[in-house]
Amino acid sequence: MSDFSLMGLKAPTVIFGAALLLLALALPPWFGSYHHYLASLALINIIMAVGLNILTGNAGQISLCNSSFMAIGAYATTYLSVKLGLSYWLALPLGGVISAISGFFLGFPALRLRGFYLAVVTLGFLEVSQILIEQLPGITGGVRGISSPRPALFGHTLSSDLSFYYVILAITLATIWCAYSLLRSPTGRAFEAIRSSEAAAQTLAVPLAQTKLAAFVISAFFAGIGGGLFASLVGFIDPLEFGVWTSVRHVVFIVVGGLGSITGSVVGAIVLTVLPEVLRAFKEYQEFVFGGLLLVVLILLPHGLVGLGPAIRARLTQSDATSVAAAQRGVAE
Amino acid sequence: MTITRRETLGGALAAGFTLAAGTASAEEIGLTKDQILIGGYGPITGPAAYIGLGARDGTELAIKEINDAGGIHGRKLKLVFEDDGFSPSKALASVKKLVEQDKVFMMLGLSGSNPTVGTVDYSKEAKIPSYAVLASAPQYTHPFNRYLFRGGATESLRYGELNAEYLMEFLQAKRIAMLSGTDENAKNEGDNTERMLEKWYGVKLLMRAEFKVGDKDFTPQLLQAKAANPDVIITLAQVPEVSILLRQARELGIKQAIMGSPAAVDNGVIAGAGLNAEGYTGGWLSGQFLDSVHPDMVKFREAWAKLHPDAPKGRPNLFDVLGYSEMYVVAEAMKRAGPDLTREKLVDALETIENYKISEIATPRTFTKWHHIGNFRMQYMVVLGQHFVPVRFDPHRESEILKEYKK
Amino acid sequence: MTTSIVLQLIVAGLSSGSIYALVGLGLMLAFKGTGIVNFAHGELVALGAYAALFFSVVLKLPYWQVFILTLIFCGVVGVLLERTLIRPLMRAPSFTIVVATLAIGLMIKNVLRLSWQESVSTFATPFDELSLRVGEISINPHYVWIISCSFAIMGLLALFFRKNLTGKAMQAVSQNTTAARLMGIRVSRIFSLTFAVSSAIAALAGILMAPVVGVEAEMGSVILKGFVAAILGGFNSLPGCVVGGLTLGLLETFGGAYFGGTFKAVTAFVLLMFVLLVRPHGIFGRAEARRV
Repeated sequence: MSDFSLMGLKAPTVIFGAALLLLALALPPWFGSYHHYLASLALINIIMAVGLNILTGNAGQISLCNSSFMAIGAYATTYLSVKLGLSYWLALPLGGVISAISGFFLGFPALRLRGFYLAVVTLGFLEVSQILIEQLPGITGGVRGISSPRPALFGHTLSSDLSFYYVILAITLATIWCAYSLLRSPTGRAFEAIRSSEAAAQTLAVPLAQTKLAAFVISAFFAGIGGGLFASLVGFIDPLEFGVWTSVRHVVFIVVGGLGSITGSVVGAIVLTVLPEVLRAFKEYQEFVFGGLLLVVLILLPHGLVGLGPAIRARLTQSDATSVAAAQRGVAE
Repeated sequence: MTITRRETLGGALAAGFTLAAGTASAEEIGLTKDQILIGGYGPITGPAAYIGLGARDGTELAIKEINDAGGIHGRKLKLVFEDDGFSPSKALASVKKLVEQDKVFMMLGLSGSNPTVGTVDYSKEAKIPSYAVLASAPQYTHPFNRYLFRGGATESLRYGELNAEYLMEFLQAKRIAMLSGTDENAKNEGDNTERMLEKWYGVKLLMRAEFKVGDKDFTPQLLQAKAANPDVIITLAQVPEVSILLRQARELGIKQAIMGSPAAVDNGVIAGAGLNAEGYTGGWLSGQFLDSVHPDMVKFREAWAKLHPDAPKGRPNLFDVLGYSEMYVVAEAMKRAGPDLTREKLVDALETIENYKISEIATPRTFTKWHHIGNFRMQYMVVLGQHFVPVRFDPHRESEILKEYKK
Repeated sequence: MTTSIVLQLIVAGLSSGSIYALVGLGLMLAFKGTGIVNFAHGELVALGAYAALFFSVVLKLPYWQVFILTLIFCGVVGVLLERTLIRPLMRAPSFTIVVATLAIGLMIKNVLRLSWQESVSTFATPFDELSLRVGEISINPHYVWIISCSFAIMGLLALFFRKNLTGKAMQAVSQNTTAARLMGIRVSRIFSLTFAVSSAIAALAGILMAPVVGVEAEMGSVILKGFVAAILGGFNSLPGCVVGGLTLGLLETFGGAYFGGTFKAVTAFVLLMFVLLVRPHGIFGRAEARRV
């Protein structure tokens, strides 16, 4: 292991991140709009995964309604910029804030629940938000969907997918940086504490309710921003786009990538955005193949793709020993 | 990958020859000396998979028949089909892939309204001839665009007009109640039927109640409808909902006629509701019903079965028929465009299509220079003796859509 | 509203309620026995319905044989699922298991959707020709069959857990796996058995539902109602789950009849929120005992 580190990041992570960033900056002009569009979707998925991972991976709260917050962000941004004529660059963060406020309200009943009780309640929230989108056609366009135009920057409409890609890339990087700083802050450590043991966290004077609420609010804000970007990237949104399978996909990103890890979120989101495009060759059997691949990965790597590296490294340290042992047993059986 | 590269090379060569031959056309993408590459997208995964699977296989059948007969001016047709999972964002990705990776000559939209609408801006920008077979959303043909055509399904307002005329002039109903799903298709058809009843006949609905796709119990909505005492109840929903609804209506002692939407004129309704489906009526988008003994339909079914000997139950469906018959409309236009086919010439040729249909399984299509809505008709059907049989009803009122275009 | 309509609503509500209870029961059983929340349970319900459809329409077997064969078939599928896919994941983090069961469900659903493409299908039952008339209303005899059959099965299950040795062993494993193992219970065999019974109950819900709502690939969505029923019962009590399911069924049907369709759509979740906030351990539940 190397002694080199940057802001507390290990060398492999830094090298990996720098290489990825270089590719993200330099490659796109060589490709066409189809690839820019896919890359933009991958970046938005990274935002969704990073946000959800804070709630689920770090604070330990399962959520199956991440797509609802994405929808709230998407519809709010569209409404504010199209109907109220606000600048997109104001509407986008406002969409995030509105989404965060809804996260706050969901967080309240969720405070008392854990595990799959929470999963079912979040499913309920998703159902209710879908009904609201359908029943408020004046704001959302209802089931017919609504157009969401591309924004302008310095007087130029970002109509090309390449220019909008760079905007999304910048926002994604900012998101990752925010998440990274957050997790290193006392709040981030409080998340870890309540995930490991709520009782122990309380004895350490971690304010349980506040911390959990903060996790809900932050992840909803991220999802809202991602939703706002998604709306103007695609240019047209309808409620089916934000259904339960979208939420499940976000959970799959972080479980396959690695719970509680930003690298995991990034890797999971990229892999699972590219994979369906590769699976196109399987035609109508692609969902079946996807499910099968997913199962294989989960059985072989129950701690996700990033579980591979630490599993080897953690042999030296004692802290992760139990989970590694569990992982190995999982593989052995 | 290699295939794409070879085709591009071939395309460039072919274009080179055309230039050498002295025609004005620039190199045309997706076209070689012996092949026309057609892109198609629709849902083949997810709950709406039955739409895309049918439309894709029907199109493939037509292409096989055309190719077996020698192709079009010596060129064979080839379909590259991509899944859109009934999602606008995935449909856009599919269309971008087809245009930029596969470099197709033209696009067949084999998906529902919302995914198709998701691709409209890009298709306009790419100036690629696009033929939507199943989408009914007005955004596709309004405002008019030279490159976008709508066959198969008609525009959503037209469903409303036809339903209103059928209700008032054929069924002679005075008091009408409506039960509709909250999905896009049902909502549009419901709103437009309500609007046209009022605009053309001054008739207001007695009541309208909604339910969600996937609901299994319609007692509340049916009780409301029963209380209003209508002559006809019109239900706009998908097959699973309608088959339950018909049975529950009879269980609740509702004896009135029940009419459905083209989405639920399907043998599944008879299978699900049994004798309760007797007298159920609604519009159908092609010429003959699937189990018709008309020789053209028998021929279609046999050809289809030959191509898919191990077909699953429930196929071919309506979307097989539409994919098949619309592919023939496009092929006819390609034929008319002549051997020096270009995208512009294809658009011009499509605009000469008048009352064209491949056989009696289809209804006629007409496109003009000023409107690209190929279909304004539905064939109404009624369940008699556990079969859908055609009703003799010919709408005579001119569509508001055409009046609007003529202005 | 006339008495006959009220009677109709009661029967309809009880019949959908018993389906919810059965689905909830299957979920609860798997969770109690193995600690796994099986998100593929809804697809097992659909699998049961499709299996019955296949036996009835393709093999043309009579209803009673279809009934038995389907239960056996799905029980075997349950064991296979447990042995091949669930067991390797037993020690994985709980989120991994959630995603894995969702993946299993997705695969089952795709196989069903592609291999039988009718928009909706049904199969014949001996109750099709019967008719129970009350005034101008007729009560669907399937409803009565669903209610009585579900109650019989739930009664049998209760007896099984109380009286039968294997049933008691299953109870023991669910309470404390290590202690059960020390007592000489073969835990892995009990896990398989639990999945067999849970899957067979799912299949039963499928067979019973099919003639009323039709067979289609999306019928697995009933899992949500099953969750609500089980949670209302505190997720650890058989009678609680039954009462939860029936309450939900009746509330939906009557709520819908008096307040309209939108009310019906949100009933389940409003009820769920309410119960979870007032009594987090369900109507009948005791404080949740967690595996640590």
